[in-house]
Amino acid sequence: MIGPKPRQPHARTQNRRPDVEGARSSRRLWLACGCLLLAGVRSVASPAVQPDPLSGRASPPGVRETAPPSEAPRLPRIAPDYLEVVIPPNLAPLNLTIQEPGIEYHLRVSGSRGQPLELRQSHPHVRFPLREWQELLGTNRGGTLRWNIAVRNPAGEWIRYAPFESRVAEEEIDRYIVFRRLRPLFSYYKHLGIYQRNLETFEEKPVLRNDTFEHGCVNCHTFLQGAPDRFAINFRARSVTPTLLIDSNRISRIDTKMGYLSWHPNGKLLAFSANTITQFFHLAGPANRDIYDARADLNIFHVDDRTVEKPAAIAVPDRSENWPCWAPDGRHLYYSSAPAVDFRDERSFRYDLLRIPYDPDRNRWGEPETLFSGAEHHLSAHQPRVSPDGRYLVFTVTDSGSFPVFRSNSDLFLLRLDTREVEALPINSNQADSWHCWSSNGRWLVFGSKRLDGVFTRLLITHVDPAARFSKPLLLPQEDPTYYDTCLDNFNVPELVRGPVQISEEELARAVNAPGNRTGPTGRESSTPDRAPDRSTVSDNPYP
Amino acid sequence: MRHNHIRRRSKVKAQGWRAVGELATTGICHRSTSPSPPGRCSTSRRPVWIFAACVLLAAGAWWPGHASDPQPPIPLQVQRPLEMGDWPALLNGLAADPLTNTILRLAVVRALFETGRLPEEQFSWLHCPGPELLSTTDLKQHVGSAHVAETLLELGHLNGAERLAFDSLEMEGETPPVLRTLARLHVVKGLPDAAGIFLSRLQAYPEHCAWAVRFRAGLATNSPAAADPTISRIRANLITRDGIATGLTTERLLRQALESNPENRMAFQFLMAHQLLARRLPYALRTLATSPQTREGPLPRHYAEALLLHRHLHPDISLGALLPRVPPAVAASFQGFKEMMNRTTGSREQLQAQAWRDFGNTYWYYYFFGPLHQPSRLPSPGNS
Repeated sequence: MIGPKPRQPHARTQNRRPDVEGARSSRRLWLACGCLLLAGVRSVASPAVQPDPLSGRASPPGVRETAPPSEAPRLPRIAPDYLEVVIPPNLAPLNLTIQEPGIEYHLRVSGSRGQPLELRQSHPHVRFPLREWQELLGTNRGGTLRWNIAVRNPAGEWIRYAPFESRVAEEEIDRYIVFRRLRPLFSYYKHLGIYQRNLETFEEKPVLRNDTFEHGCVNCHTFLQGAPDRFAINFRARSVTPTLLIDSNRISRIDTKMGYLSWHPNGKLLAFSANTITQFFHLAGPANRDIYDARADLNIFHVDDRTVEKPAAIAVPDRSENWPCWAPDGRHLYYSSAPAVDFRDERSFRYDLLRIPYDPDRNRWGEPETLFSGAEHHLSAHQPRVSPDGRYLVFTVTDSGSFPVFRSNSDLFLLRLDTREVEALPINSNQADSWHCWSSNGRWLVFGSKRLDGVFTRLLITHVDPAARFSKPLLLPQEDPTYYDTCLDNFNVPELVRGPVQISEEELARAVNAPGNRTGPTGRESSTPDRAPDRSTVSDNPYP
Repeated sequence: MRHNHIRRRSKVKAQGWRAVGELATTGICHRSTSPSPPGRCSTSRRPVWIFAACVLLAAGAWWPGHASDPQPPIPLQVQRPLEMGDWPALLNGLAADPLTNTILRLAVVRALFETGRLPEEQFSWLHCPGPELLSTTDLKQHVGSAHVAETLLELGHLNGAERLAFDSLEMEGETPPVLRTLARLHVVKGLPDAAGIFLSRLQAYPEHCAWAVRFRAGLATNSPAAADPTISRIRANLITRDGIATGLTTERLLRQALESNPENRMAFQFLMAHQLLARRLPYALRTLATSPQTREGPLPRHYAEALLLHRHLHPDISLGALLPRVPPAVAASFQGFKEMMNRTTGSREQLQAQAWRDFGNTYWYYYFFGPLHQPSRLPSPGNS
């Protein structure tokens, strides 16, 4: 006999829609009657039990495996793909959709400790209750979760799928992520902004949207070692391209244009690139747009005395230096560097990955050292990010060019700084993978990827163990499991921070809009402050 | 005041119509490789220059005023047909429109093409010059750029369409046409999952839901072209030669499309339409002569009209095998046009009024009087 399993005391049904209840009850009644009749006709000897569709026992009548007895049942199709992932113990629920046709869905997530989470519902969109999810993860920290899914098909049979597991990591991920949210932009932009998301819940709030300052462009946001009250944001308003410095939630504004930024760990220096970016388009072929950025230099902003320095070692006239990243100990600056080429040779433009020693006490630079040769590998190296323990460096690699996110062949590579071994990460996809960021404990890496559809950049989280093994990436979960199915926004430049950005959007917007609140930089020694004229097109946008 | 000024100086004698033609042709010859017929420009030189000044003044008075007008929104009665691709209904809705709006001009050309009437009826609709067909520079707030994107896509300009469609999405906001274009575009690009996102958005619009569901079903069975025949057309028309996309004029876009696929019927007819609108007669006839799409049979009316006009203005230039393909009715009509132009005396306005009445739907009227055409001042042509 087939019948609904009596609801268990711990069953979670909060996301069941009340309007469906009545219809389901009457449908169940009819189904039960039909099944009784059928059972009476087919077999009077059938045991009168109500099977648990998720039980691991041999299938009772009415419960079918997803494969003939000779084969193992297949895995269920779920979206997002959370099979065999490693979950931060403080991450919001992995809400998902069961992509199997059915009239009733039963899902149980259980660990070796605590109460399992169990949902039984008439639709395939699974939303876990937040508190119970947090309890489940908390009690199974460092352990394994087992996921069992069964679906009752329109014929009334329960189909039990092969269970799968996911691991709950011991180490937490930083509580917040700050990212840039915008649609795929080509020649124009109207709406974009920087947002923060609480990773422990689904709360998302704007940090600064461009409609607060006449639809200008919000560019880089860079935090000092994950501190939410110490960061810089570069933006482009109608006639200026200033940078806001936020220090202990106090805002100051520097009227100089800064491209890609990196804080020195002492908080007194800000390395930034001065770019002259030109976006161009292809008539045909898979790559529609690209960036020519072969004339960049690196500069250092001294926070205390508000000066910009252009050290000769990292602003070589016939080379383009870009993508600065300070080592966690502040003794090296990592960056990309390539021979400057004309636009017509742009296809041969390839960055090397370099580092240069720096003595912060004496403000002295050493000799640059090449860590990865673009010319030798016929690859271009971008976006170096050193792990907090200083042992690893993850960077982005493309076949050529200066802007990885536009290249579907963009991949993440790992450089082991002790052995200098370089390897492509196994987490790469056949679409652009780029814009990565380490968590402050070095156990997580967040990055942007277009792997889902080839167009939209979504954020993924991967666990990194002490030996630099990367787990299968999991898509940043959303409260609505179908969220990404209709989302037309890109999420990029993810920066993990330890807490919420507390300075309000209004305060930031006021600082952008108030001309009296400026602090202009001055030159310093060999410095040449960059004062490139503002260009109010998207082609000047470091993060199109 | 400006119009009076023009009127005082625009007296043209009857035989001046040839000079008008010469004026236009001379203008073309400056850009073309075809030399001006020797000696012809010396006849009635003074009226030519007077008329030339009038044309320029009038065009100057009309065009900047037009260009500075805010782009009117797409009229309500054609919004739905345009959105749904209901071309006959769109033509019905635009029957009384002066067609000064960039998007409406493109929409009419597209509708005429889709209904197979473009080479026969283009100048029944378009009587005066305007922005280039595929231009987006006159679009205010990008209104209508989704339709340009859709046209580019069907012409085979996948990358151009993508760029414009995403610009439209950002600047115009989400509209069913742009979602449909992006869905098709990403199927052609081999990115069905991305197409699925746009289809999901499109399904929220009741009028487009059925199409989106059908298209999605086609994707699921790996046969989107069966669900939407447009996909096959786009695939056949795809631009194949890459380069840096700069200076993309309507002419260049359409030529690129024809270079990639000479059988691209839409690109051919649009290029002819564009070159005729730009009064680039030698270019239009070269397009006509070299296209594999019109190798035999009677020429469509407007192509024949252009051919006869070119022969009249440049009798020394051979037109090869094209001339015998001019339909007799068009040849007879041209004879009538010539007689009218030779017979008429009086002001240019009188000449134009008569030409409008008898030949208002011909290329000849557009060619000679288009720059001065004022739709509000003239009734419908008698023969249209």
